[in-house]
Amino acid sequence: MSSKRDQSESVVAAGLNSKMTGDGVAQNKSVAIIRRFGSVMKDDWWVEHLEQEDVPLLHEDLEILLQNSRADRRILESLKRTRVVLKKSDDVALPESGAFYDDLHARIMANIEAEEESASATRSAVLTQNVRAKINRLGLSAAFGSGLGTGVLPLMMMMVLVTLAVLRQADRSASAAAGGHIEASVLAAAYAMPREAKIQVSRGSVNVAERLPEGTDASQLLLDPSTEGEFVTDVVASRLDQLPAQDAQALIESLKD
Amino acid sequence: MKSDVELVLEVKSGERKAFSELVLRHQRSLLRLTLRFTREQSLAEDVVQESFLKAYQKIHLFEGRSSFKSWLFQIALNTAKNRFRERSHDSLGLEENQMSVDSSAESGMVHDDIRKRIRSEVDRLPDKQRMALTLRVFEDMSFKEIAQIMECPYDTAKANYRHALLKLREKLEVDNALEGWSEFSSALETMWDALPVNGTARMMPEAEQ
Repeated sequence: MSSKRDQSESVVAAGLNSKMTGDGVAQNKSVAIIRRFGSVMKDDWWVEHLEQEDVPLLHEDLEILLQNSRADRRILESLKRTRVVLKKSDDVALPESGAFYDDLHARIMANIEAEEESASATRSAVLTQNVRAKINRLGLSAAFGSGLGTGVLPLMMMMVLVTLAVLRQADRSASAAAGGHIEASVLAAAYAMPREAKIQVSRGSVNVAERLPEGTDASQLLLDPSTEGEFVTDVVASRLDQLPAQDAQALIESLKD
Repeated sequence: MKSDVELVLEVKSGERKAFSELVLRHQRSLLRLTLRFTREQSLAEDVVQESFLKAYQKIHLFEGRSSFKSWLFQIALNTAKNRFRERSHDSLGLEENQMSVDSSAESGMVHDDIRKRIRSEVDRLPDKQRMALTLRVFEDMSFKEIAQIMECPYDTAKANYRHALLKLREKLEVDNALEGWSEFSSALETMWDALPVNGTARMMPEAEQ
């Protein structure tokens, strides 16, 4: 047990040293240091000293104390000893075999792959559900079911686009109000994706982040399924008029499934 | 060789292979850390796997303010805590969790009884103190890294370590009568004196002993 007893001893020891050696300056300084700071914090100082975390000014004072106070040396030594014993008590034994780590690595990467596939499937399901719901709401499937390939298509397309444009604006406002995850700049980049990429996204075969132009900060684009669903609906709606009839039909059919 | 930060940037841009490299780099140290707290290899492996998975999923949140390793350790320690909560333990590293010990390494360790005693005292420390002590003494981490991992201010990390070390010293000095302890500590004292500090040996002047 060190603290209080040793701390008062340190004052005495330093004082004795000073008297016995007659070496005035350093010893007197050590007594002054102890008187100035008292003994309450000394153990803490020694821990800081041991870890080389003490401030330079205090470090010098502590070095003087160490040279002149046996009790202080004892405190520091007991702390060092505790640390060394502790370190030596380390009994964690790691597997040495390289095969073990190869296997661990393989398991970690397999987990990640499985999780990605599962997340992708969930996103696709939610996305399809959202888009289908919107299509049903607008009576799109019926319209396209009978309208494609006939002269009615351009008229229907225009009606759909106008309606979806209104919905899109409302969705975007709602998304922004809810702290939607898609940043405006990323959304803009996504809108500029090539047509085939949009079809792929709309079909759920790739996610938006995978098809963003190089250099886009994909970290901004958290693929919250509902937001992604709304986005894809936007893509479908805003660009449907630019798709050839065959692609549009394929897209609508895939969304109906 | 690419830095961790470069690899993280590649992962963020969709390169899963870069994450594979990060796993290769850090799986061993992460296993050692989790083994220290869980004391059970299969559980430690589970925590490692889950931690890497979480790191991959949240990589976009890593901003590089700390090292990737510190960030990973932080995830692992939180994961380990959650695992213990799920198992209805209220703290990490309970004594019934037996740590695997490599008998071939026995010669370099302290006497088994002493080691158990020390481990028991370390396990009795409050979680934060134990964490700070473990990261500092066993993982040789700086207080800055410890603060990042423990998600606390720098001074708090240091204070936790300091309290832990002082408590342990008190306990171990009380146990001085423990069989083999005195003999062992003398040997350590000799060993410590021979350790260089700031380029000079730590021998005290004989006249003052």
